Amino acid sequence: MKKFIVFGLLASKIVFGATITVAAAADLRFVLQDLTALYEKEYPQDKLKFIYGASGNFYNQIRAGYPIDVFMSADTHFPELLYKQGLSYKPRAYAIGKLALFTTKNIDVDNPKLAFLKAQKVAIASPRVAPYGVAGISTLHCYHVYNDVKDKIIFGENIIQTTQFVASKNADVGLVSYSLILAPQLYSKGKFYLIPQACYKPIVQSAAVIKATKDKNAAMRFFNFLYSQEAIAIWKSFGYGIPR
Amino acid sequence: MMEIRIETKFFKFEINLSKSQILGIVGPSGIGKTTTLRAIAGLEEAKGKIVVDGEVWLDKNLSLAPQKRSIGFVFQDFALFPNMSVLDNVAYASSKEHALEILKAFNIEHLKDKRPNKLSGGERQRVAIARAIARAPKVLLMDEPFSALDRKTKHFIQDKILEFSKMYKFYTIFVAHDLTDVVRLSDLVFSVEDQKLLSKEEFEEYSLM
Amino acid sequence: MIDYSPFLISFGVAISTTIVLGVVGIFISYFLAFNKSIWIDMIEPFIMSPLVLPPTVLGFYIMYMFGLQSPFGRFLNNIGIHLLFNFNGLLLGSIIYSLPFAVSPVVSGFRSVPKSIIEASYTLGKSKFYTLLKVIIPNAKYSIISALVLVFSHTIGEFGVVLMVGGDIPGKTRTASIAIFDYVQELNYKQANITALILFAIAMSTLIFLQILKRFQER
Repeated sequence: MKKFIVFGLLASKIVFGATITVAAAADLRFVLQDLTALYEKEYPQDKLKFIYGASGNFYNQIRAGYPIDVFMSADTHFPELLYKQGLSYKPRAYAIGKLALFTTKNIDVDNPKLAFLKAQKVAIASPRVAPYGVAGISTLHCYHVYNDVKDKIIFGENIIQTTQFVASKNADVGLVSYSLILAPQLYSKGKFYLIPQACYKPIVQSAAVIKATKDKNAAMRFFNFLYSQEAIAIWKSFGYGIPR
Repeated sequence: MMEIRIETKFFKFEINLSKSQILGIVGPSGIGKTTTLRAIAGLEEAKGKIVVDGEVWLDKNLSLAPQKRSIGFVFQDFALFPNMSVLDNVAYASSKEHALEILKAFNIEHLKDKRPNKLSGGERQRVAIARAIARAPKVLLMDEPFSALDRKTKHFIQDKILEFSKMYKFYTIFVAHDLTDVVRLSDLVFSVEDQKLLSKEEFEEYSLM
Repeated sequence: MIDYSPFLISFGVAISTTIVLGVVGIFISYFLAFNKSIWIDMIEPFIMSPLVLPPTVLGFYIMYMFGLQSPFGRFLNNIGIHLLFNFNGLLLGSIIYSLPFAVSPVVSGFRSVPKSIIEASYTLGKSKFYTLLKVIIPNAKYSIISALVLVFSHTIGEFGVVLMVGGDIPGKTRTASIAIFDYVQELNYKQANITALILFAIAMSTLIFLQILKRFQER
């Protein structure tokens, strides 16, 4: 009897399990580790593969035929574009990203305006491909320091690289994803200040299942999981807001 | 018979040769002797007509590539293949057995496994001549082929060329500076300066001057 | 637990690229070295162009041309030819990217072969192809080997093109060079260092090999 069950489970793994490839925005690197652990407990037959990068780059690659199943963008703009072009199913917001001012040097970040002016180098994600970059630029305008700061900006290709500029002290301060600095690897490294939501348009992060996926059922499994109760708890623990 | 009526950028050249005849071309440096020799080989462009035993090598409509002409060419710088032994050089367009025969005839069989860069100038020159002859071509073309040889070796090689020329019945055309070479080996001599063929008496007299 | 797949992918791409460019490079170099027409002056810069283009730009153009947004890309896809986001894509990108390294030294090498020995081969009745095989290539041996070694090490270290054209898919197109970048991004400095050291060792060995080769050539 035991052998039959084992065989049955193995068979179901082969028959019903899948490898799901997810292109994920750079800010999700650490929160997805926790989400993966949870998902794989529920669906042990599936294997998750993540590729991290800038949402804009993924958009280009998906249009070229990038063989991924689910796209988790750092915004809603790119998934919507894909949906309009018939390349994905309807996108849905999974989290609301927050922007934080981060430093690993001895700078008082509770006064962002002063911190920006004092800093010699300010790290921001590239607004052209990273939605956190757009929020970053918006924040600089919000504190009326854009003109003073714009020559001091170093742009990260994605939000992780931006965070690293700060972690490695190459930038004095940086506008980064709140969820990244809540990760244990970075949390104790420096100080942060949550930028008021009023300073930037909400970073509504959406995901979409790509139409060219080889296994729509598996892709949907993962996609729907992102909005489940268990997932919501994890999003919250990493400082994300939850879309209504 | 070999009929040549060509014009290079240097001068016009016309001659008819019979089988086994040897023609020497003399003249000062830079006058275009090498160019004419190369034109006969198909390595240079020329206008005119070349017919060898009824086969057209050059005329108004056609100019055969060097590969298609049955020639053996001895270059002024010898042009031995550095990546091959002496034997492989001589056997390049022939067989190993035949190559060995020629090497033996030239008394350079002992060099057969050596690389060209290990040979003296005179040795290289003899290999170059052997390689050209080994192919048993219809026409043997030689550019200053005795320049690196001492008198004794030169005469020896010249006698061998004469022998092979009678045996294989090829036409020989060579270019030389040294009038004594020309006199000794040639049946006919073309003087570029005089733009004409000299008779045997004429060139013997010529060389005594 | 070290993941070996990035190294296997990098080696696979580098060796395949070297083999393809070895053959293609020789033919292109032959054409460039021995052709006297003026068109060569037009073609040679084209072949050298990957040297001056930033790799990401090159990668982008390749992705655009062979991707589904271009009519050509769609056509290829319809006949079942997939050249992006897989090993073939890496190979394609690397071939274009490393082409100048396969051609330039070999053209030099071919041009240095004394003209008279090439002519000697023709006067001995051998065809151009036979001459290429038996005279030209053996006498440009060191240039050809240099070119192959350069192509190999250049391809191993490639980043921008493979990232665009390969898409960094773990186990499929995540090369060692991209893997280093990824390890750093996930703050896994240990893995990044190990991978980088291995790549560095490979690069150094190829350069040392080239040095030794130069010695042989001077002999």
